[in-house]
Amino acid sequence: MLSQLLPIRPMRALLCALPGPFARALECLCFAFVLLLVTTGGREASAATIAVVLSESRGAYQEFADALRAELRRDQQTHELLVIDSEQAASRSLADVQLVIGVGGKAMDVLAAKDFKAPLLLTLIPRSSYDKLPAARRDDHKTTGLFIDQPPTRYIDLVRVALPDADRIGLLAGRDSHDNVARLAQVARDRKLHPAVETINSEGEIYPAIQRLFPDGGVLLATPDTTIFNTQTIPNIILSAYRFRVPVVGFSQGSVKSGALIALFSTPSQLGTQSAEIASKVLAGTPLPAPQYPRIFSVGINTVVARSLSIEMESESVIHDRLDKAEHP
Amino acid sequence: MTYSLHCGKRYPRACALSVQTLLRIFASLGLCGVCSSVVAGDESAFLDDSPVVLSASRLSQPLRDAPGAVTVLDREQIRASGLRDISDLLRLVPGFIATNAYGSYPVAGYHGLTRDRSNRMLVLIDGRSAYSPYFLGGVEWNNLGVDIDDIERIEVVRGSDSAAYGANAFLGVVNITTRKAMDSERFTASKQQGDGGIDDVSVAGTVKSGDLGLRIRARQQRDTGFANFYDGRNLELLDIRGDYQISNQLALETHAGANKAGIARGNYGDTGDPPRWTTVQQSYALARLRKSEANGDDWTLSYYHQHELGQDAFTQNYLIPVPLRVLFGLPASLNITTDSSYQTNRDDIEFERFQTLSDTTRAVWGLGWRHDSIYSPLLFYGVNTINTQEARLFGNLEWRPAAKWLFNAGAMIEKASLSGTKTAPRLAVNYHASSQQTVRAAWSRAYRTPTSYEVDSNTKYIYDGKVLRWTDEPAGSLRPERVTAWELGYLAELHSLATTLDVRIFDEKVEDMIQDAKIPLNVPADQLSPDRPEARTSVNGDRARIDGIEYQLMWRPSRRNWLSIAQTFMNIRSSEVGNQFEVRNQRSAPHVVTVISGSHEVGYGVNLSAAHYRYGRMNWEQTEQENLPPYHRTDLRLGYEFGAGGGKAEIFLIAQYLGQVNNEFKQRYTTDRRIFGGFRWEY
Repeated sequence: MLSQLLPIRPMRALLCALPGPFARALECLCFAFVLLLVTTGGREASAATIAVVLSESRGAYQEFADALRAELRRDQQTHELLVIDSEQAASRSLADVQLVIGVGGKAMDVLAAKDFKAPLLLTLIPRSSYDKLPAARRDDHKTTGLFIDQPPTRYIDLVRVALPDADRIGLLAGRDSHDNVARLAQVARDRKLHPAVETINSEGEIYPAIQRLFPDGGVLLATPDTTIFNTQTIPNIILSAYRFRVPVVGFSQGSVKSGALIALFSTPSQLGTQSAEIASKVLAGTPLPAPQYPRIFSVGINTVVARSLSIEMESESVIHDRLDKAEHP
Repeated sequence: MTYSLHCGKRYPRACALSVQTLLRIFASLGLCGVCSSVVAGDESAFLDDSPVVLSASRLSQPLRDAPGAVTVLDREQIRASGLRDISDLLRLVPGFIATNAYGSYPVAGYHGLTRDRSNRMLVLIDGRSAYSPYFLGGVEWNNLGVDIDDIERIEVVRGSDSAAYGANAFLGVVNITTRKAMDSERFTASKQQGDGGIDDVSVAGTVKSGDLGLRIRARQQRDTGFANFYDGRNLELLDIRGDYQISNQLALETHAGANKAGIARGNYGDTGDPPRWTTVQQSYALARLRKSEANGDDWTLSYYHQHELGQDAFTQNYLIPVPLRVLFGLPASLNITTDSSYQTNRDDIEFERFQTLSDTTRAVWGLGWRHDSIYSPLLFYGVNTINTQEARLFGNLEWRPAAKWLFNAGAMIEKASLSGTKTAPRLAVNYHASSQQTVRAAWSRAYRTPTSYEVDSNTKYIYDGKVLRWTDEPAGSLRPERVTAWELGYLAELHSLATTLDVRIFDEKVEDMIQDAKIPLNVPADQLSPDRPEARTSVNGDRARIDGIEYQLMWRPSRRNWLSIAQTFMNIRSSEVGNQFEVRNQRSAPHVVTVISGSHEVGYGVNLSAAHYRYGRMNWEQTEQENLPPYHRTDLRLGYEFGAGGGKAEIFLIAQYLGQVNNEFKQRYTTDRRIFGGFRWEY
């Protein structure tokens, strides 16, 4: 009976395999050990179940879950992880969990339509998606977000740090990104740079817009608006900008591979690690933090493109450290 | 009586790739597309990979790192020039001279040694060689198969670069890159008309569907050439470019097209060269597969086929010399048809690999093979068709031991059936004195392979099995022409002043130049045609040494506003081998060429550009009577851009040869002032 209390399946198996007296003695010992853990307090005391709802059980989402688990383990947390995909989450009750982490847009949609008591952390989604949550949900003090996009200040600082000669910052605004672009433009102005914005309604307008944005060089700051920047359009944007010898600053690792000069991004692993930190704090009793941009991020540079554009650049780590210092002087 | 000098063999069918075939190829490839997304929601933009578009082979090398002097002409410069021919655009490049060798036949060359053919330079259009294997070889400017409006940029290597481009990259390489189909406007139409019979019309449409882009261009370009000469032309072109992104790493690029140059040739009253209409048709298909890796490395595999069909036949009344009349029992004269029609087929395959070896070392290497087949019963009597092959292996290693130093070492080993195995090496060191200044020293050796005509020409005029005239004899064997070049370069890219200064000091030693020579006919004495006791053949002959300095100073505060001055000062010394050659190369380029050009965006959509060209005394034809006095030429272009029909339109007026009547190629060819105008609309 006691063995049922032991959370770890291999230990239970071991106990069953032992002859009676030994098993009972070991069971007592283990029980004493568990008691000791429970009574000594500490973070481990509140071992809880975290439901991790992935949009899909593969790719970036799985990478997120693996990093989350690894970070919790590294932090000696014993919370049980219930990793399910959004379809399973739709049909399962979440009444027995202490924290729900929604990973990606699909998971967010499922969880937003579901009623449960546990606090909810939505991550691997852009801020624009989070802002589309019903106000009632956002303001219920039980929901928060860890965005996949970078804070506008960091993004603009990246241009200042990596491309100190750049003065003109070109931005393309689409249906979904007016607010985001306006925030970036404001930060750029605050930093004494010259932002220029062109509004795009269809793919065909991209090239003329880039032509208008850069009569005399500058930097094209890609903004996370899938109506403008998606896998179909990114190649054309990068090629058009390259024709004007305008470097592109991207927001994903993929954009650097594609031909952006530099990009600022948080990988699913980095968001998983940061989510684990938030989870630990929340389950330890800290109030749910406000929606936030990622703290952990990466800088990627395409050295081949840099060389072709005759741009001398610092290394990725130097730029990363400078950005870090700018945020935490 | 009219007799043909042809043998019975007819031309094989032209093998142009039809539009339908091309569409079928695309349709069959449509089964696979860019890898399906593994990310579903709005986060996909952050997490998905997109195609690698700027891998090494697509990137242009920064000028400061180039192992030689390179001038880039972009779309704005091309548009502002108002020039209609790609050969003419080379007037803007230091060291190049260009003209028309008769109204309908453009010619251009770097540092002289060019007569009426551009056969010591190389032009590549998206990697396809425009160097014709026919006759004396050279660039057929009328059949490049590219519309000036589709050009993304032209990179001109000033100097020799066989190490990178192979044989014939002898004195100057022009690398034309066209725009990707995906990157083109949906529809463009343009028309220009005016003096000199100029009447050009061009339309292009682009279809984009997912990862597939297809651009189709149709163009007609017409003019009447020099005044008072029968030298007009009518160029027709159809060109299709397809781009298909198979996966994020793999892309397919295809080109297919056909063009026809109708050229008026001949002289009024000249029975040996009567006024007539000739045509050169060309068709081609190219496919290039490109695999790009995440670190920017890539490889490409390219194949192209090119077919050229020239048609030129005329009948003349030939007076039979008395001894031949007696010998063969012939009448006093015969109507003889001279049919110099020909056909060439070229197949070329190449693999190229760009590789990053370490933080300081990069390499590009590859191998290729080419087969040329030339069918010309007139040039190759009794053989009709000459087949030549060439295999090549090339590589370049770029080593950057320190931020300021860059070393390039490259070589091309070519094995050609006409001239054996040759190695063309190139060494260069670039020293970046500061982030804005580079000094370069380079040494290279390059070759020009003799053409089949130069090696194997054998032309006999035969009537009823009797040799009436024997004009060309095979050379047997020839060494390739060789150029050994030293250069010292200086490049200042002063970003804060928006100014670039590019200087090249050069010393080019050209040896074994292939020349015409007369040799006694190798026929029984009683069959000798008394009016032509000798035949023409080719021999390795003249040497030339070209040294001098060229520079371009450009102030370009914005893309559409610039002012540039380019000058070339050169001296060509030539030495003869044996006594049968005249010293003829020294005046093949002017001592001084000056080009001043500029463009200014006035505002309200108005753009004004101008160019002034000054050529010193020279002699294209290299005959005593064709010494040309110095001349200058001024061109103006006024454009007005406005929005129209949901797109962008421009009306423009171009004036060329303002101020002076020139004699550009021959003394009797005069280029008068030419004014023409037109519009361009893009959507």
